[in-house]
Order: sequence, then structure tokens, then C-alpha cells
Amino acid sequence: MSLIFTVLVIGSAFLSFAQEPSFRTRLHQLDTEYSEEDIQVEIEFGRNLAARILGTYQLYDNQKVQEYINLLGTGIAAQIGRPELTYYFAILDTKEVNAYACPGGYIFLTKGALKLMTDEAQLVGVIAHEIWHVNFRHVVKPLRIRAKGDSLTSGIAAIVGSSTATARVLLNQLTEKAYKLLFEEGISQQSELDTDSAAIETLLTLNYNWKSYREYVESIEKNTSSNYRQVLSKTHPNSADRLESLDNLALSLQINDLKGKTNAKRFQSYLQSL
Amino acid sequence: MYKFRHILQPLLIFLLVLFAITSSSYGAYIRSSKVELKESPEFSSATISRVNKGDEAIILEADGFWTKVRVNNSTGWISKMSLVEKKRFLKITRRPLHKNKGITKKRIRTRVARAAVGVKGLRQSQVEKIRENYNIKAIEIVETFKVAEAKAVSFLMDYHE
Repeated sequence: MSLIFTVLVIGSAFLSFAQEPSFRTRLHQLDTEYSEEDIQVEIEFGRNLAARILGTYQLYDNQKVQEYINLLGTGIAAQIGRPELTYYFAILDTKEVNAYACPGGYIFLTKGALKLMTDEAQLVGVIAHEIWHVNFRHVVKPLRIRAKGDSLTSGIAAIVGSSTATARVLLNQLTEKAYKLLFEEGISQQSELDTDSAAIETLLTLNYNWKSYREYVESIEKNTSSNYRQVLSKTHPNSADRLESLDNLALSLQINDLKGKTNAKRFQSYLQSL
Repeated sequence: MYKFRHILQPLLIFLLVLFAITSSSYGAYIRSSKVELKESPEFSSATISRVNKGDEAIILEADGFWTKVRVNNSTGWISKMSLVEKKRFLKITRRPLHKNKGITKKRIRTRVARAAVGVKGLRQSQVEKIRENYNIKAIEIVETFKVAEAKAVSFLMDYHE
């Protein structure tokens, strides 16, 4: 009797042990492997990259639109962002249709992208897409922005925040690499598709209309000039691939008939002065 | 031999039971506010209750997008993106890292030298030009664009047309 009991206990322990890793890998592994110092380095680095972007583009000065973006952005970040970060949202005064996410939570949307949108669900989807870039550390990982480590560019804690001229030069050199990644080379195509999927899942979780985001992706192809599309195509997959990926996701989640809020009137009232 | 079995067997059983209990229920935390706990893993499913940021969740089952959890004595399904593994809800703020405790000037010099090898690629003449491209004042303005989190969550979640 005691032998049977022992076998049962060993069996259940083994089964639970075998299941454990699958649970862990299915959760978003957001911060377990990063120390507080790593995150401080990420914030400082991201802030420097954001300053670099604002050296190229002017801030769009419109208090009402700015307030709207920040209310939505802060709300979305509170729901799906990394809890240890403070997220900032700003609009770049350019006709280009794009959005950018810097490490540490600095997020930019272009005036051109806002003009192309038709409802709040689209805006929520685009902001969520950018927040997921920060969550997935799509700049931090390829450039190995860590406080300490074995790689050559990891150990940058001493540079970031240091006031010495050498350290400043080194930080700016590393920032140029990140700038090139965002504006010329792009993050991997798969990373963009992953953030598209995460944006859709966010819209569903927040009870927004996921199809609005799909329409926005479609409208980029239809409503932007070939010049802007060329810029975008360097950093993002083409619209057809993005739409196919979104449709596959909709099929697997069985959400084709699902409707959600668009809040188009509120969107128009805030953005009429754009 | 009998004495050995008499002591070792219960001890072994006790340790295995302990192991089974601790490893089968895997803990996490709710990341978001007002998260709907669903009856089944479908968006159209009924909402059992709402759970909140920081609540402890015991993960019972994972199924792609959905995770079955027990939170505040209720069992239901939520999106996996509403969970975090580690309870890190305190904001991490900026501070000059070279002033961190335990980092000596010698270590700073070593790290800068290591990083200098790593970030090679630009000439000094280019670097001066690059410095002009940074707008720190503008980023300071962006950092003043703040809204209260509770107000923002309500703005996002509670409004329907």
C-alpha cells in the first residue's frame, strides 16, 4: 500500500515538474532576468535616443492633442506596459506616417500618422504596438544594452549618466546605432509582426474594435505617397504581410465577428484642431 | 534495515509531497486594472468578476492567449498579457549610475574602455557633428507631459460611445 502511495506521489511530482517550464515560457518574460541597474541603463539610453529623435523632428505644439495622446497612452501603459517604467508620449511635427518607441518608455507618434487615423481604436492599437516594442526590448536586446555582462557593449552603466567627455562620445555613438536601427535598418520583420499581434490582443483585452487597427494598416498602403511608403518599407514588413498575419491571428482567436468600441466621436473632437 | 525503511520512507514521501505542492501551483501577479475574469477561454464568454493590479494569481492552466487562474478565491480565464511573473510595481527612476554604491572610479574607467571597443564605428570628426543633433531641452518638455494613472485608466476603460 505504502509502495503504491510512494509511486503516486513520485508520479505527481514528476508531472508537475514537467508542466512547469511550459507555463513559464508561455508567460511574457518581462523583467525576471533584468536587474534594477539594467533598467536604469535602459531608461538613460532611451532618453538619449529620444533626444536624438527630437534633434531631427520638432515637437508638435498642440495642448489638446497632446493631452489626449497622454491620457490614452498612460492608460494603455498602466494596463499592458512594464510596471517599473514611466512612459512618455509626444507627437512629432512631420507629415511622415510612422511611430517610434525608444527603450525606457519614450514613445513618439507622427502628426502624419494621426491625420491618417479615423477613430480611437486605431490610435489605441498604434500606441499599444509601440508599448510592446518597449516590453519586448526590441532595441535593448540587439544592441545588448545592459549594465554589466560579457558582451562588448554591455557594461555601459559607467558611460550612461557619466559626465566625462569620453563617456558622452561613447554613449552618442551607441545611440547612433539605435537611431539607425529605428530609422534605416528597422527591427526584424518578425518583431514587427509580433508587436502587431500583441496590439490586437491589447485591443481585445481593452474591449476596442480590433478591426480598426487592421483598417489602419491597410490605409497606410492606400493613402500614403510612394516616398513615405519607401521609408516605411525599410523598417516594417509590407502591408500585405502584416494584414495576412493579422488575419491568421483573427482566425486562430476566432474573433472575426467580434465588435468593440471605436470612440470615433471622442477621437474627432480631440483631433479636429490637428 | 527495517529501521532504515521506517525513517527514510516517510521522509521521502514528505519531501516529494512538498515538492509537488510547491511546483504545481505557479504564482504570478495581475498587471492591469479592472481585468475581466472570464468563465471560459473565449472573448464572448461571461465575466465572473474583475481583478486588479497587484492581485496574486495562481496559474492553473495555460492555453495560448488564455491562462486559467485563481485570484481572490475566484477561478477563471484571463489574457496572459494581464499577468507578470514578478511583483515589480515600483517605478524605477533615473539617477547618475556612476554614483552607484560599489562602483569605483577604477571600475568606471575599465568599463568605459571596454565599451569603447564595443561601440567602434564613428570617427571623432563625425562625433562633434552628432552632438548637435541631440535636443535635451525638448525631452525635458516631454517629461512634463504627465497625467495621473488612475485618471488615464478611467479615460481609457470607462468611456463607450
